Amino acid sequence: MEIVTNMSTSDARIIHGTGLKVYFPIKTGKFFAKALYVHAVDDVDFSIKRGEVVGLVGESGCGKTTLGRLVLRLIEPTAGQLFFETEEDVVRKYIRLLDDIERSPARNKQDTRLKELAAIEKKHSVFKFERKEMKNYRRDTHIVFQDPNSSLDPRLLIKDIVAEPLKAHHYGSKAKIYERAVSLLAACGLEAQFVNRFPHELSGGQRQRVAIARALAMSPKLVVLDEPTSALDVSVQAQVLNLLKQLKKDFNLSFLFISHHLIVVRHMAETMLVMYAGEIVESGKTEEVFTEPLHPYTKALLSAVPIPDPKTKRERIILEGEVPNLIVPPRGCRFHPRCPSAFETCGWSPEEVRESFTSVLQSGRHPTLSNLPTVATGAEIDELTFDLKMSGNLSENDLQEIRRVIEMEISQGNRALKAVKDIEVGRSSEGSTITVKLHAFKAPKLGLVKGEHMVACHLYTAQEEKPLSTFEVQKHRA
Amino acid sequence: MRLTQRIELKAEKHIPPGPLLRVNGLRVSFVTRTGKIQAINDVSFEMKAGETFGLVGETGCGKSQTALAVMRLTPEAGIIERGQIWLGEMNLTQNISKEFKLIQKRSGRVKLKRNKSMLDRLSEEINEIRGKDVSMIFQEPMTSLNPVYTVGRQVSETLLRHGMNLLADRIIARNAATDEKLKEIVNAASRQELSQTQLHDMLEGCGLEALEDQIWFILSRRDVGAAQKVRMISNLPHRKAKPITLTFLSRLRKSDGKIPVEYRILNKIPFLRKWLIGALEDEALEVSYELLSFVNMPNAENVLRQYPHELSGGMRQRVMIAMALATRPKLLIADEPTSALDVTVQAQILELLRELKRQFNSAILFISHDIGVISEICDRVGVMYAGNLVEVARLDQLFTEAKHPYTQGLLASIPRYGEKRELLQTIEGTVPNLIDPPKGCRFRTRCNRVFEKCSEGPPWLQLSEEHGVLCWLYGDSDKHVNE
Repeated sequence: MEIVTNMSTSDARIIHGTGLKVYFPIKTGKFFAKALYVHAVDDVDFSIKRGEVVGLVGESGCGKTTLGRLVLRLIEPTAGQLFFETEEDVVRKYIRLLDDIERSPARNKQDTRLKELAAIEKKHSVFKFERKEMKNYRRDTHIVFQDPNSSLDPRLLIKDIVAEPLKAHHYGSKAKIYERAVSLLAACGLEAQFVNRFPHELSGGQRQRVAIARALAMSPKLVVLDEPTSALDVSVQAQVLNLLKQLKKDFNLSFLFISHHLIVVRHMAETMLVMYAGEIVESGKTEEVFTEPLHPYTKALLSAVPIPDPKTKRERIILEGEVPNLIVPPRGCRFHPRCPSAFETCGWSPEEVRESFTSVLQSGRHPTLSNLPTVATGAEIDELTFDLKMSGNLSENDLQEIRRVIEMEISQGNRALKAVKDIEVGRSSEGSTITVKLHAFKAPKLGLVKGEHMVACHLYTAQEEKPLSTFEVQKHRA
Repeated sequence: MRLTQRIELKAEKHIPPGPLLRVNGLRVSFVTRTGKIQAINDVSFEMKAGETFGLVGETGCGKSQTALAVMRLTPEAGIIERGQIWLGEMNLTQNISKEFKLIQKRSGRVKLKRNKSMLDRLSEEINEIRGKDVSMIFQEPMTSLNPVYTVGRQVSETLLRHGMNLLADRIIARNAATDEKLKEIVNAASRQELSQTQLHDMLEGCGLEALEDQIWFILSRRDVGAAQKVRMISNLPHRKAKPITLTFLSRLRKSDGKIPVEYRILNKIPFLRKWLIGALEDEALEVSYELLSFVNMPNAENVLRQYPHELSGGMRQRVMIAMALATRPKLLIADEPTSALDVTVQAQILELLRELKRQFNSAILFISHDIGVISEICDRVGVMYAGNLVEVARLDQLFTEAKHPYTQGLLASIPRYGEKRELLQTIEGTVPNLIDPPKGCRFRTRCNRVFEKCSEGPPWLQLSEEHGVLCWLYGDSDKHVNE
């Protein structure tokens, strides 16, 4: 009980997730095949304050729903811990220990830090809860699903649907349970005439109200709203959003509001998280993120939102391509293949660079390269080098010319070629081999920029000295 | 791109004096066991050539049914009870009364089976227009593409049905071309960048206009260099068809794109058919490739051989758009083309449609429930409610001076981008059941400005040339124009 009183201060966090990962295994059908995983949620940290609405936005398939379900422990995580109503000090200590271990990894299992970690996890983490604790947790959290047509039992009456969680948690006598169910439905805008109907007799908006009433049955502290209005029409959506706002105020609820509809999130949420390909790329106060987006993805996402006003004109950033395959996510920053401002260290793979490199050599766009021998084969040597075998020999002049052309392509906006660090040519009797070395890459981490605004992008995190590319060195010499 | 430029030239020549599409008093009903659903009730609107007209409304208000009625694709249970749909000079609803009589007994119940063959014959006539002059982009790209055929085959299907002339012209022109005739163009192309008009003039000089599409496509490609382009152009005349195919093609051309009588028997026998129209099929694939490149399909050459399930949502929608463009329709109907897509992909598709609008100058009937999307792309907007068109206005008028209470409520209920409001304004209640709609104004059960007159049907009131509303609130009674 003490914990609860401690936590009731306004700034206290109700839930705190660290290093959450969910990998879904894929069955390939082959017995000895290498196990493949969909990296649905990858290393996500987040927290929700008491009485706060946190918006989670992103394109379909970016892991929003998975994260929402993980918060309720409807699926088990691959890694990571979730703390619910734990003292701030314990969580802080846990994070400090994690950081410490990351800096100087533990030598063996006897390390005291590991033992401490395990002790905290066992005592506080939601994923280590036993049956009884889990039942309490289930009472304190609930979810409203996207499609009210499929999340309500068609064979139960409305009042029975709302009474179900009350019965499961032994709320009281039958009369008391139904009394509460009816009052909840009334609070959600469904009068007494509705309680004895079946879900199919209601409209979409009314069904969603039933789902919300059910979620509030055991007066939870945290409710996950998984796209609560995307199946509804705009005029009904407004009714449901108003209801949610009212309920939040009345019951001092915390919401994790998952939606792909950015304007709705802006209307509802105080804090928001932007997710891309399983990672959180930006987080902060909703107004700040909307008025001053930092991550290139957030910028593009916000500029793509159609504004219902013909007078508002703004610059639109049209992204190329689509959300990447999460079985083999792009290395480094996962957004780099679509990013309009990607540069050297964003994680270009030899394969990506090889593709653009070969197309530059072969396309005939550059007349000076038209006499080059053709590319016979290409192969990846290691994660920062690749080879191109040519069908003939290259002279020193050709190499200079290739370097010049690559530099020109970069200045014309060929982003993949920015990763080229050095080009070498080896000669043999069969033909020359071009060896291309790439810049080292680093995955961006979520870093604080200002206030509470965090972003995972190399553009904003502490600028380290970038290594000069060969071209730049040559320029300096000249 | 030439593909589009030629349309523009053509369109300028034959812009019809009247409106491109005229829908007049359209009424569509569905007969169900529980009663007759009046899905569309007296909808009238007009579209000019090159205009984008948006239809907006909630689920079940009849947006899609209006579009389907224009395509004459109303589902079997539905009947176009009355009304006229004119596409330019063509009456798409010529047989309406005939059909209506056929499928309706005196009691008003449908008797479909007996008159099936007659109906089929009537719908055969409409097939000539459908897909050729009007084509449609459907909402769900997954369910509207055939999963068992490759993308290439599906795109070329429309061409083989409606564009035989175009295909034949392309092959004949390639055969007529010689190295000498093309020499000038090859030289010019290797010297400088040719513009569309330059190319057009040069080709007209040597009588090879039909090669325009093909050469311009090569010139506008971005993935190959100048030297390669010149090589590709000079290769064009070397791809000759067999003499026997040529005779067939010239006969086909004379019979205006239909298989000539003497060849019909060959066309019925599978392996001979392949021999007969194989060249056309290959050509259709090539045009499909050009179309897919035009809609910015990445890796278009491979996509031709892929099946729809191998593509992502955005790419499938691009295939749909390419199919709809294949025959260069005068009117393109886009039924919620972006509702199933993510915002970033939606932005890509809207950009593509805007590009089409600019280059093709084709009219688009754009249907969406999202006012945001509508305001991005439309010139004029019609607002629908429960089967009625309640307001038609220019886009800016709709946002500044919406008249109908429903339009006002709809606009107030969306969270706005710029402003922060504690609570949103709502429209109380839900859309009425259309089996037994409210008498008079169908919105009166939810309207906040309802008064005694509303129990009679409100007349259409034209406030200005471009702004009309279906409501009793405006204007004096003598100003009303009853239709």
